Amino acid sequence: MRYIAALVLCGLALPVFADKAAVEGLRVYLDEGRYRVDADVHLTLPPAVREALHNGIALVFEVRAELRRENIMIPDSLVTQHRRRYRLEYRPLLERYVVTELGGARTVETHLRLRDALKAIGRIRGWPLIEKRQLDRSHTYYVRVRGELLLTELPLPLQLHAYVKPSWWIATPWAEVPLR
Amino acid sequence: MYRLPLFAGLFVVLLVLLFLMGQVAGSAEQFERYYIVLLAANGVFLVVLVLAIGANALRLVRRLLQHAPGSHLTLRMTLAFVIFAVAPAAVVYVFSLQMLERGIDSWFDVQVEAALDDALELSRASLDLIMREYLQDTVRAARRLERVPDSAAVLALSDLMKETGATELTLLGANARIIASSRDMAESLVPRLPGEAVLRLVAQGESYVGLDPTPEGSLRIRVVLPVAPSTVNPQARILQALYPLPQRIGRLTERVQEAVGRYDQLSYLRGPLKQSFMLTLSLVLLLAVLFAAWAAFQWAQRLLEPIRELARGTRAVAEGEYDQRLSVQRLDDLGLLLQSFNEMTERLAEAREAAKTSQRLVERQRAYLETLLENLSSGVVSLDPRGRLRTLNRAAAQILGVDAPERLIGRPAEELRGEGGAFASFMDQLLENLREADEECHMQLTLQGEKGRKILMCHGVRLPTGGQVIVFDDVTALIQAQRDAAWAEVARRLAHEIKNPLTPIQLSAERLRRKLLDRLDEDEGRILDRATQTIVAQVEAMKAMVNAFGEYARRPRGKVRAVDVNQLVRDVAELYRANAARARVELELAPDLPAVQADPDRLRQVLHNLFNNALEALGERDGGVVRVHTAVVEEGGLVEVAVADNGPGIPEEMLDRLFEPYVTSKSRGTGLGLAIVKKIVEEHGGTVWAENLPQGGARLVIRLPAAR
Ligand SMILES: Nc1ncnc2c1ncn2[C@@H]1O[C@H](COP(=O)(O)OP(=O)(O)O)[C@@H](O)[C@H]1O
Ligand SMILES: [Mg+2]
Repeated sequence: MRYIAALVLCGLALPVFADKAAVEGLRVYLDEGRYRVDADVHLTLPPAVREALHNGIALVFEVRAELRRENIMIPDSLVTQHRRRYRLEYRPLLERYVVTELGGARTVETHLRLRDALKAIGRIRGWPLIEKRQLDRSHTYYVRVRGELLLTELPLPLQLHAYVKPSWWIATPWAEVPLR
Repeated sequence: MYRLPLFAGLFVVLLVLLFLMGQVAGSAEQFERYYIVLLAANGVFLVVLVLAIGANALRLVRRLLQHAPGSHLTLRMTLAFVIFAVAPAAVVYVFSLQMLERGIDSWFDVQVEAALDDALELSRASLDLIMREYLQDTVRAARRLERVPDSAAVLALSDLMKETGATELTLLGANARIIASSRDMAESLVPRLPGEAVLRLVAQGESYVGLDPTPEGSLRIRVVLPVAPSTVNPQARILQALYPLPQRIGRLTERVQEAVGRYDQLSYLRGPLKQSFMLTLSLVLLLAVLFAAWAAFQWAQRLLEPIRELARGTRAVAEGEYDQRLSVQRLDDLGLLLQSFNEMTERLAEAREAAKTSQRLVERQRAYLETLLENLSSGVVSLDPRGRLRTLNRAAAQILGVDAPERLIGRPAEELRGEGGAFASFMDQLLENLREADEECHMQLTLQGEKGRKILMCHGVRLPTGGQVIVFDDVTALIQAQRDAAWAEVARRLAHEIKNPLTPIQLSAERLRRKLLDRLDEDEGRILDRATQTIVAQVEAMKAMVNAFGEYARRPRGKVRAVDVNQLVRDVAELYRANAARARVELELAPDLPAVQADPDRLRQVLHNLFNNALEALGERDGGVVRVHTAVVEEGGLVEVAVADNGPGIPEEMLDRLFEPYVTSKSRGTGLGLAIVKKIVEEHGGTVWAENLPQGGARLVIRLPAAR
């Protein structure tokens, strides 16, 4: 099931993800009975998006890791997920990129270079997924990771614009590893 | 009318959608997130409208192609409404678009932009100044820390904090290990370490000063310096100091930053904003126009509904349906029109009903006449003014021997003349007579048919409308009866008047002979003998003739009983078999022949006469056969006896008068044999006829009613 879905997804996604938005170094490991994920979600901004960023538009990214269970006849089901949202903005006064994690932590980081800011957003280190004992041995599980720009968080006039412009559809394809 | 609520409902939906769009376009915060939903809703509404209009237009086109009544008017009205709706809307649209374009552009000004940039520059400069001051303070603090050992660093740091006004001071060792840290109570519990890039910079001996945004949204100054190694501390260390911005400066810079950000954002969003405004405007306008168009269709339809109704009604009337009433739902001019149409059809219906009633009356009368005609025993024939056969009643058909009268009706009489048969002969004579006749005429026609001659008494009248009616009766039987009666009278007279003197004549002649024969000489005696013998023989013959006449004239003498005709035939045939050596007698007798109520003696007389005639006709010829045949006919109602021979047959000219007395072809015949046959048969309620057989010979047939 999920291979077909992935194939279809790739087929659709290929032209969009052409500028090497990808997930690298996806790794799932067991740490004190708990599965954790490491990965680097590699996001890049096309010039149009960069221009918006430099004109005071805040971009919200979501990075997500999902633990899924393979099913035979029905679509695969989501067991658990871990996701984080980051706001990326450019401060002309500081001449810096500010990354704020939304939600609980609300940590703020500044970066001199956009590349560093994006790298910080895409950095997944030790995200906890699930306790090993919670898994059902008779099933096959896999982890997948992806990062994307949330168009819904854009200012309204831009949102309409972005929905119809493929250069705004920034997302990596899903990267998967089986859970062993 | 179901359309009104629908119409109102759609209109309300349209208004709500447009209002919300207006609100959203005005950027009211709470609507912002519903904008997309609203757009989608509008889109759906748009599609619905387009479909509705499409359906309406399709229907209109179909009606136009069918040339349905009112369709052209509908088209024209709809077009007019749409044009009236679209034209002002288009003007407003173009005007609004221009306003939008110029209005939005006028928000942005090069001077304002430059001023904002300057303000930003200014804030940056003043912040730089402040940062440099704090850098100097921190450099001094770092100098003082050079000789402070790690163990005493905490104390030194808290002292330095008070002197410099920093909110946090942290001393880091190799690998960013925290040696000591001092913080304000208000600050976070954990020291906020500098990023890797900064550490790398400081490791190279540079000092870093920069602004950091706090999670609360304000700014603070971060200074990171290398602390030079000394004799006390041989290892290189790093000092980080965090200072709050002076409140006033902080507020100002924040505001500048916000304003610049907002302006940048707005000027960047100008394009998309315009697009979305235009989209909204276009959508609103399109909705309004489409709604107007749809409304135009609906309205035109509603307005023209009565006209369609009227057309439908007219068509129904044209097709002869008068009881259709149009529904009048309005009291306006068109409603009145419908009402008067209804009245008109009502009148028409009444008139038609009256016509129907009178027609029924006529029909009934006609039917009555027809039954009368059909059951009349007289034949009735009528001709129309153009000389075509119009009526031929049942009696007429029967008399004239026509099997299918309906085949002849409507054909010209002249044409029927040449058809052949009794009917043609009748027409022929009739037309001949009518030609000379005027208003009324009487005539007697004689028809030659297969079963003998027929005599018809005709009475013709010219109709006032043209054409003629001829009423006629078959008087053959009547005339026959009269003739029979006359003959019977003659016979009786003859018997009476002639038979009486015959005996004295005979006796006298015999006495004359007896007395005179001896007295005369031989010659004279011979003459007397011959003369008296002739007289006696002739008187004898005369007696026989008179007896035969008497037989003919005799009244029936009762003695009627059930007679087995077969047995009778057998008895008589036996007699002739014995006597007639030459002819053969053959019998074909029906097995289950019913009995006949008759006088057996008289019936035997009939058979004798028929046998006699047949044998006489055969004469001396060889191979003569007399064939007697009995049968049941008319579903057991009649007994038929036929005597056939293979003789010369009956002379053609005698056929129709055969049964009259004194009709004979024989030199010594009386011509009474068949007359008697007929009389006896008729006395028994039967019929008799003669016919010549195609293979030669004659056949005489009698039919008697079977006893019940
Ligand atoms: N079987 C027959 N075949 C031919 N002619 C017949 C036959 N029966 C009757 N006729 C004709 O009908 C005539 C009338 O017959 P009928 O009345 O018996 O008188 P008669 O026998 O005295 O002549 C006969 O003279 C004869 O010409
Ligand atoms: Mg005879």
